Amino acid sequence: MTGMNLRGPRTIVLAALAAVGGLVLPAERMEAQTVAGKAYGTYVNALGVTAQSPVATLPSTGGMSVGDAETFGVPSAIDARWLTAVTTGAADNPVSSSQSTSELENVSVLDGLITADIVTAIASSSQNAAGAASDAAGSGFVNLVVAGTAVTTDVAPNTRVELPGVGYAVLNEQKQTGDGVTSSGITVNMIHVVLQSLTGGGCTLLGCLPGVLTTTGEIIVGSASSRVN
Amino acid sequence: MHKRRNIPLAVGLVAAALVAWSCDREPAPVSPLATEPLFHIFPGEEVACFRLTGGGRIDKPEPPILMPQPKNTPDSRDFATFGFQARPNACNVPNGSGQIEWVEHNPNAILGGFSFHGVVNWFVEVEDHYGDTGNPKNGCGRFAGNDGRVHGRNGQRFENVSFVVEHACDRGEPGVGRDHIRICLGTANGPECELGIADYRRDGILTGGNIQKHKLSGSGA
Repeated sequence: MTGMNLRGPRTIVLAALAAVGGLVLPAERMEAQTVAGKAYGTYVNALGVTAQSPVATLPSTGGMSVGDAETFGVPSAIDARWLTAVTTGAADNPVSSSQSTSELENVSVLDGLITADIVTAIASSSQNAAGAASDAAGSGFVNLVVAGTAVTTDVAPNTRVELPGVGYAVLNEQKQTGDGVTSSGITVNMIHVVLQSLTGGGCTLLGCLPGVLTTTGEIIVGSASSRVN
Repeated sequence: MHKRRNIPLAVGLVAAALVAWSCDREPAPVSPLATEPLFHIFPGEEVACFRLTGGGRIDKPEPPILMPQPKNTPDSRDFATFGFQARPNACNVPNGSGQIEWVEHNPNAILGGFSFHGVVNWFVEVEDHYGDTGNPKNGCGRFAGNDGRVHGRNGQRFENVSFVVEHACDRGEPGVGRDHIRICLGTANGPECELGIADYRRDGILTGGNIQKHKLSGSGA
């Protein structure tokens, strides 16, 4: 980046043009930059209960935050041990970054419908002179079992699994935000169960109408998010 | 909430205390203006004028030549995750501040795996053993403390645990496949960690997350 050199006559002319004509000369970016980060082990809004394990939240100017618990459970919804949520980052010029991780062990969702030895969510975002980017690399499961079927390979992002009679689950759910130039963010939810029930519908002499699937709750396991802008 | 108890480290773990060195190299003492605790700066270490933040995951040990490392398979618990912020208290002083969280998932590690929380008291700059990237925005820090607590998966807890992050290196973005880190527990001495004289040591090239070097004058950490 170049600043103004006020020593030469050519530069004086340019400066005058800038003052009169609004010509923008190159200058170092001075916009305030912010970061965001959040991580938690589980969130439950189901079966008449709303509960969340300790949350780590990064201040907008950066720093570090930790939320952990040795155990966390909501009967019939979620049971887990060794929950650790950490978020760190710093807002800086020209480089800002935010990193969040969420981990749980011995996870059981909906009385064993989904189990895993370890669930790990990682969200990383950074911004430098080349642009802004985010990724979820390192996120994964150890010994994941869904409805009695062992998942022996890495789960692709946003893998949807139907759970008959319950709803469905999105595994390794990832949502990206930002323009990739001045901002970027990502939210990773390793297990996102959407609970549904069939309401309405029925048959009369005139015919039958189908019921409507209604969302009745959700359970999130292993959530990490980060953003820079 | 568990009660905290002062319990010395179990078999194989060294009690945290001031370490008496008797190595051949005479470390340079820090400025008499430095506040307690007093750390020595060894050859290869320099006072720093930047800070680091980082978080992520490592799986396989650092290879002799820098190259991206894969995650272990989905049936393996052999990996560690971390998050930290660390900085010198001012430009060109070794006294530092910050925190680190480290989670070891391998059931064959000490204590059957553990969660560690450490408070940073010391921060210096070190060289990257993989070589300089040539970009001044990259670099490595070393930070340590004597105030750490460990919670083992076997139920045991320990306090006043010494630790050193022998190196945390930013080699560019994204951090995966580039950035790398090494930590030791049971010592706050970087050279001891480097030589493998520690009760726990783990290192790796990041398989997730990022380590970032920031200006010291910025906000946040």
